[in-house]
Amino acid sequence: MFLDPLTATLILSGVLAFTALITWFIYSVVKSNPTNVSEEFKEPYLAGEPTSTLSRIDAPSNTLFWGFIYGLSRKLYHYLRERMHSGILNEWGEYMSVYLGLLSLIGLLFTALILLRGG
Amino acid sequence: MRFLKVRNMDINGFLFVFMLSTIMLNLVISLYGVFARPSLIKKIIALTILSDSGNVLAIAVGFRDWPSGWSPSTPPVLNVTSPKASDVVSFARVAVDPLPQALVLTAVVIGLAVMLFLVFLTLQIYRLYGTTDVRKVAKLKG
Amino acid sequence: MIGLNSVGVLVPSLVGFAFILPLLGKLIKNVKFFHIYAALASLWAAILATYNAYLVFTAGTQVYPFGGWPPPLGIAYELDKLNALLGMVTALVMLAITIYSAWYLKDYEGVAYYYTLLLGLEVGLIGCLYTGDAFNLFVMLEVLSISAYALVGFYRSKPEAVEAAIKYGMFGAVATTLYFVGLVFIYATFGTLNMADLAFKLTFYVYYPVPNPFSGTFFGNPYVASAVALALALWAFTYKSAAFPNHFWLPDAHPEAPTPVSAALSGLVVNVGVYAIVRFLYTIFGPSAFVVQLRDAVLIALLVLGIASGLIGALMMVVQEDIKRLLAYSTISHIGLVLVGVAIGTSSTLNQNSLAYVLGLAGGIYHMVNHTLGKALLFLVSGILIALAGGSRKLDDIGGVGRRYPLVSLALFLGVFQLLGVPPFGGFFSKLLIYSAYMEAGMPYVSLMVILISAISLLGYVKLIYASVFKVGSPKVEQTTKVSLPTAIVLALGIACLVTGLATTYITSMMFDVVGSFATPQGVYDYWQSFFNTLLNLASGVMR
Repeated sequence: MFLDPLTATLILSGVLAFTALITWFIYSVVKSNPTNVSEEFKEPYLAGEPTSTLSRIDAPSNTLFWGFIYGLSRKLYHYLRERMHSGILNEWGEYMSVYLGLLSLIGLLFTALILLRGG
Repeated sequence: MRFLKVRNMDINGFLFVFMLSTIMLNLVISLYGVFARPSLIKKIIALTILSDSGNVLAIAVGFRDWPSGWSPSTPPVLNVTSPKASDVVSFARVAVDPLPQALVLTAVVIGLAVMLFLVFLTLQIYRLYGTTDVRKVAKLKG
Repeated sequence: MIGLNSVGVLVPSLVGFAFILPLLGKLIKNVKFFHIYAALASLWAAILATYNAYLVFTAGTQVYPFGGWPPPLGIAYELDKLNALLGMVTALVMLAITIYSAWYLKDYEGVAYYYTLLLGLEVGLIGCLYTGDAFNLFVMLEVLSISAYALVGFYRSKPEAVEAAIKYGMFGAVATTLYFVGLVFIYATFGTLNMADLAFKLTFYVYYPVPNPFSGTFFGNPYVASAVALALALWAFTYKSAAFPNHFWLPDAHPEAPTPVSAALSGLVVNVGVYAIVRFLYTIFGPSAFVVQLRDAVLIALLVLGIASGLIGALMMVVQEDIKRLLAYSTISHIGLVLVGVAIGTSSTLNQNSLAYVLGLAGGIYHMVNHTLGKALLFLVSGILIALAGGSRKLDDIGGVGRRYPLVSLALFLGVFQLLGVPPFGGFFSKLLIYSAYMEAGMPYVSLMVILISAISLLGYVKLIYASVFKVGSPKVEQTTKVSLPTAIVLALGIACLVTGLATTYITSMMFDVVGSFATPQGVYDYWQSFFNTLLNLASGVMR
């Protein structure tokens, strides 16, 4: 016997939420608080680097995904960002007028079809 | 008026078709102007032509048959106090349809407001960017 | 007729509330007055819209003829379940946005004009949804548009804001003018602009061709008129709803507006475009209208555009560095999904597989509501985060501010889960409906596209959550900023998101009901029926 998908989803997500709650509870007990790091940890001195780069213990958000995605599909994003979304009104107009033309073409073909059939 | 049946077209019909084709041409040209001209001022002028062509088209739709060669169609006022059915029929055939004119009145007023707003924005663009060329007004991208 | 008045009074009274504000601004200098005034006006609208929805869901379609003129002669508002539901959602979200504005603009002097425009926007939104007249739709679309242009350019000394406003306004004016030209073609051929009347005439045209003054010519040909009108109207509506090739204005305009306005634009204004598309393609040029092939071609084009805008929105969303721009691209992606849902109704689907037809439409409308709630919530949260991070919209500068404000972060999570489609939330069930509709209709590749779009946009949402909550090394938080009022609002919206998911059995059956009221032959029949009843009542009153 099977549950119907709706009930199954609700039960499953309830279980997931419960698990997440327990995990979060365990994590919040175990974790070391990163906002209260000691001064020595905040400014480690390794081999003469400036401390400002080392005091960041995270990766900047844009390098993480941007680097991954951009490396994956540089060409696509070059087209999307530089060509299509160039911010120039007339270049948008090209895409928009092509679409208007497409719709008019559909209308025209339909009309031609009907008139040729003698509608 | 009879676009596909050229043979029995009278002078009014010819004029009507001529006007319609002119309006269509105007619409296409003004669309080209809005989409392809780089200057914002030129774009606004083209937009004015576009909306005015639409308005003239709407007025033309209210056009009714001229009863005979040189007597024009009449205003939509019924000048009989107690009309018979035949009066109403001939009235409906001859009188100009007032509804498109009401539509145009509304559209003109709205068009005025939008146009004025766009003109103000263009002025503000000129103050802030020093140009009205859309190829240079492109700070937002990507 | 007492019950009907709540339908008619809503928009005119809101117009009054909106346009008396500049005058009051001259007389009253206390800023607090305007915040309370606008909140009360929105509350009034929300109560009336909710009551109207209740009325429609219990007593059936409502028609309100303005001035007592019989419908095809005068303007009428016609509410079926679709626009009553959307009107209710719109008014309730607008209420939240108006109250939020009181916090957002607490130090701003010229609030009278801001609220004039915001209430004008609400007039436009509700007017567009409620109207039963195609020309009145044009007028209300312009009311909506001009309020929106002005609100986008509200910070008029900021170059980016003015640039976004003119880019939006220039092509927006073209779009509405083209819609007007399309209406002229419709009027010349069918002699009416009332939606119910048009639906009636288009259905029975084949059996009873009504002559018009241009009959027998190219200009008065009903096929030509339908083709031109549908092409132009669809272009205009896809501009308003920001579907793929017409979407360019959105990521510029939405981030540059004041944040509450971004929420209104992104959550509500795009809905109006989709609503108008649905109304045109399902009620007026419905499945039983005489232009079947044209309708099918247009729907297939709409499906392709929906998929394209879903993909492009998701792809562009991943690489944004500005929090509001990221959310704006997410709007494009979601509108793409909604269009995919509502593009299912080709004649072959309807004839062979009516289950898929209902599922797809219900999923589309459901997703529209879910997106409204989730996106309004996320924009309002982004406003709080930006204010806390000292006014910068960059994701890097926001850097983990949300960690200090757990309730704001909770609301952010609720909104993201809603849009992402995490199971107990509404977004999941609406995507599931769209997915299963295309599986049912024998087009599994479209279903796969729905999943692909969600998967790509996951990266963008993870980036948003990471940057605003989990990132370490947050900047100095503006401790003086009080955020209790906006936090309460976003939490209320978050709970609404949760409810759309948890009450999904109830809401899904309600959506089927909604689809039954506007898209099925029976629904369209009811739509005329109430129109004719009103007409006959009024006409018999005149005769007596």
